[in-house]
Amino acid sequence: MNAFEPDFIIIGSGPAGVSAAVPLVAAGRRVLMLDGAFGMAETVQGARWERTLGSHLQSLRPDDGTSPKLQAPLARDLINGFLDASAIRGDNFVAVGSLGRGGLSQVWGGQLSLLDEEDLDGWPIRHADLAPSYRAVMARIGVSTTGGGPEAETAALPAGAIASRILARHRRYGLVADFTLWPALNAVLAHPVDGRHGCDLRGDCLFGCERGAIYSSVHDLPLLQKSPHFALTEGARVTELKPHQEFGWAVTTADGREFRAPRVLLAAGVLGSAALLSHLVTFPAEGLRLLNSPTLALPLIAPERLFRRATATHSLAQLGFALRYGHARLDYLTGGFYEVNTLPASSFINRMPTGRRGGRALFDLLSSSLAVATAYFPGDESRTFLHLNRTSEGGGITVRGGFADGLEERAKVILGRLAGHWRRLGLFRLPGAAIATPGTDAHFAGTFPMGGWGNLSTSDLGELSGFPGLHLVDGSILPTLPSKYITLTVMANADRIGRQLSNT
Amino acid sequence: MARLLITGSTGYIGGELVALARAEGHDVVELGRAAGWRIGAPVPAGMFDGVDAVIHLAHSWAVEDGAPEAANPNIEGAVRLAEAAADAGVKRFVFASSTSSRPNALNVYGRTKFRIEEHLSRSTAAAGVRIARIGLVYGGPRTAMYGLMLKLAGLSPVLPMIGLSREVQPIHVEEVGKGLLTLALSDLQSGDPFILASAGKMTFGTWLRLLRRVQGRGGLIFLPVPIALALLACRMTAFVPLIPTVDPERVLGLAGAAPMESAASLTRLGLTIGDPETRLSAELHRDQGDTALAEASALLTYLTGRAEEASAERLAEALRREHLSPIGLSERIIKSPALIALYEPPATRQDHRLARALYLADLVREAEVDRVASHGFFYSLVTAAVDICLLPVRLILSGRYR
Ligand SMILES: Cc1cc2nc3c(=O)[nH]c(=O)nc-3n(C[C@H](O)[C@H](O)[C@H](O)COP(=O)(O)OP(=O)(O)OC[C@H]3O[C@@H](n4cnc5c(N)ncnc54)[C@H](O)[C@@H]3O)c2cc1C
Repeated sequence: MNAFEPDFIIIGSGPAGVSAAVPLVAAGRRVLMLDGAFGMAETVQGARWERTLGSHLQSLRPDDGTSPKLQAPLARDLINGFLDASAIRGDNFVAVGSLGRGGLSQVWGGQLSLLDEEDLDGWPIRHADLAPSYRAVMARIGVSTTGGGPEAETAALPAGAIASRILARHRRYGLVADFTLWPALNAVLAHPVDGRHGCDLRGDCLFGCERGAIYSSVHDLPLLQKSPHFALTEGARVTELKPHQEFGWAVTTADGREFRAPRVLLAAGVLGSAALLSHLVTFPAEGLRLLNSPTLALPLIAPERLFRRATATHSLAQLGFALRYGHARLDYLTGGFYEVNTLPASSFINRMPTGRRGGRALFDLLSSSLAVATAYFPGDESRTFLHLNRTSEGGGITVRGGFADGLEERAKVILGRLAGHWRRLGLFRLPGAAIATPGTDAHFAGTFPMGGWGNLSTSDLGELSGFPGLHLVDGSILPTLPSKYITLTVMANADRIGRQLSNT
Repeated sequence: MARLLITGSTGYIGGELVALARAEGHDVVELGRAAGWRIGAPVPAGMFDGVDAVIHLAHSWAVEDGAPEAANPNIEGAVRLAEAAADAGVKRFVFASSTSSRPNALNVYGRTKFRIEEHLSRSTAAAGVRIARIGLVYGGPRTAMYGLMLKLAGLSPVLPMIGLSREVQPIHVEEVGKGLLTLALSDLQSGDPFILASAGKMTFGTWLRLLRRVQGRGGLIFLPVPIALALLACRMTAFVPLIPTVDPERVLGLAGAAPMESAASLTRLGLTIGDPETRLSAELHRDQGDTALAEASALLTYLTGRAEEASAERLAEALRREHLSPIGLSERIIKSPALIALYEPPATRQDHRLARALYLADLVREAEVDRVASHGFFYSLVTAAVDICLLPVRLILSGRYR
């Protein structure tokens, strides 16, 4: 490694880290990427039971009430590895971070949104600054829509039976003022590209895509590694960042190694990056504000699809939707519409007041007609703060989750309106809708906002004020958190910063 | 170490015998279809090279009742094989006969075995021939007649059966293997047939009850069936589509046979015969002490009608880890997992131990296959309806395993 003197050290191989690396490496800048773990947390290529229960049965556990996705082996390993190493704990907050190649993109849902000019209100950049990066990132990761329209330019995968009817009906009924519905835009391949296969609509996506159809930033690593300007060092869990007079920055790892470069790009995920910076900056007395998206799930039934055969489709979002509930720019919900028959039944049965066998039978009878809509609120509806624990308490960080005043009451009303829109389209609400514990959303932002005022803000290049050469390139620097799916924007923003830094 | 040529080596006894012989360091040549040989066919050249003894287990079932002796390849084939072996200088020829071997046996099998014994003792190979009359073989792989009986006995508490008062002499397949090896390898005086069967006798009905008991099931009530009716039923099976055809031979085999004195043979062979109940219980329930595994199997059986071993082990591990083990399922529930339906709380009650355990069982079952096949509309409808009708009972009973 000594022979390789990097211009940039990137910490983290998740979507943010990889997206910043691509333009830098393309411009011939030398990049050293450090990742905290060795290899993948869990392989998805094992026997079926290993994929679903985990090789050491880490997912054969009682239902903890979070999403089945977060309880799958891959997610358990990634998240637990992170929590163990980073001494972060949640208080009314599910602390979702990752330690492993590819970060959370190994388990994400792949649904994509693009922010528009209105969403970027309050950001130090314009839509035009992001547009080329959006295009580049989408071309790289491969996207498709689910059940596209006649005019779709993007590759399309067939939608499930409920979703295609709902969408057709929505189009037929014409525009309504506050509710929009569209074919979901997902980071999943419809056709093979570069060693990844197209989606075969087998469902079962929850346990990792064996075909590599769903994008994970792991897929970009071999391409980067082809370049002589790029090196990846795994098992390098960074514990300390220090300004270095001669070299710029020195980065120390848990196993005592030190790496140096003029610039460091921090892409350890919002929680991971905050944990690293907690040694360098002082958190405000009231705690460091983190924006997250309060989220809720609404179970639905389509009576017209009762007792019918379900159509083959993936378990990702079928449709995207938005519901405006207020006058401020960001006062709208964004969500995804999922068909339940593509998901494992066991966790649904836990919500049925029948016995286990009867529950399974009911599920078999009903699943072709069941759907779930998950919706996200914008980040300003959250009240989540990071607190540094005193050394007497064992150090580390506590994340205290919370909602804006009255959100739960307002959410009930909003949920009623949302249910009304689904009813108009032929879907009826089932009992069991609930706001999830903060953090389950995994949409995090805003800890070190670009263009902010305080000493914990960053420049439009994510450079932390007072620490030249130290850039944050993950969700930490998004100044606001619209309710939209955020990762594509995190990636585009990292790409933008990478492009600009490649000229420095 | 000796070199043995074994026919019928892929059968129930053959498989165990070959394994045993190899484990004792002997060299085994398998003579069968793989070597291009069938009963009655000449032995391929060179097969007898260096062979010390032949053990002839192969038997062809493709013989009609009442067919002339000349049309029965078993008789002709055994004699040809024995004589060819003797000509090639093989010292001993062990023939696997049966305790049903007698001139007036009810089934063709018993009569055929008897005829072969006669022909062998008059053949040019007679000097090296040893006859082993084998009793009711059990244990080891659950195949052949043993597998069938085990299954029948485990099936339901009421069993229509024939020949219940007939006496049987069970012997473990491994004991048979040892006996055959001793016959093949040691310089025992040949002459009278050796009886490989337990010295003690029990009725066939007692035997079936034992087979049910060792599977952890309760009592067994028999519906005695007249043999004529059983034979008629067998013949009918040939005409009814979708159900397996049952060979009347098997039925006659069950009905016939009188016990034989085996004590003297066993002493000469130095063979001790274990108690079948002890042996089988140990064999079938190596982990009977392990409640977690028993409970895991019961939960899986309740959900899916079966419990694969690997799945049960996974579930048992999780039950232990989650401090759910032992759930305390009663002996009756372990034996009849369907009873769980009465005690199971609603699945929403994930704070209830039994509900939580069943959730884990459901995860294990979902992990077995790519997609748990749904059972079709009516099955699901009935299952769901029955389940809902049981709710009141459960409200009362589910307290038991909280
Ligand atoms: C279940 C689930 C579903 C999701 N679905 C969607 C969706 O549909 N759409 C969407 O837009 N977003 C979704 N997300 C969110 C998305 O996964 C994240 O926004 C995205 O992965 C963030 O990327 P990142 O690179 O910033 O961080 P991460 O993906 O968290 O990557 C962090 C990287 O940093 C490394 N790292 C951390 N700490 C250290 C350290 N100390 N030293 C060295 N390396 C370190 C890790 O190993 C990892 O490689 C989902 C998330 C989850 C959990």
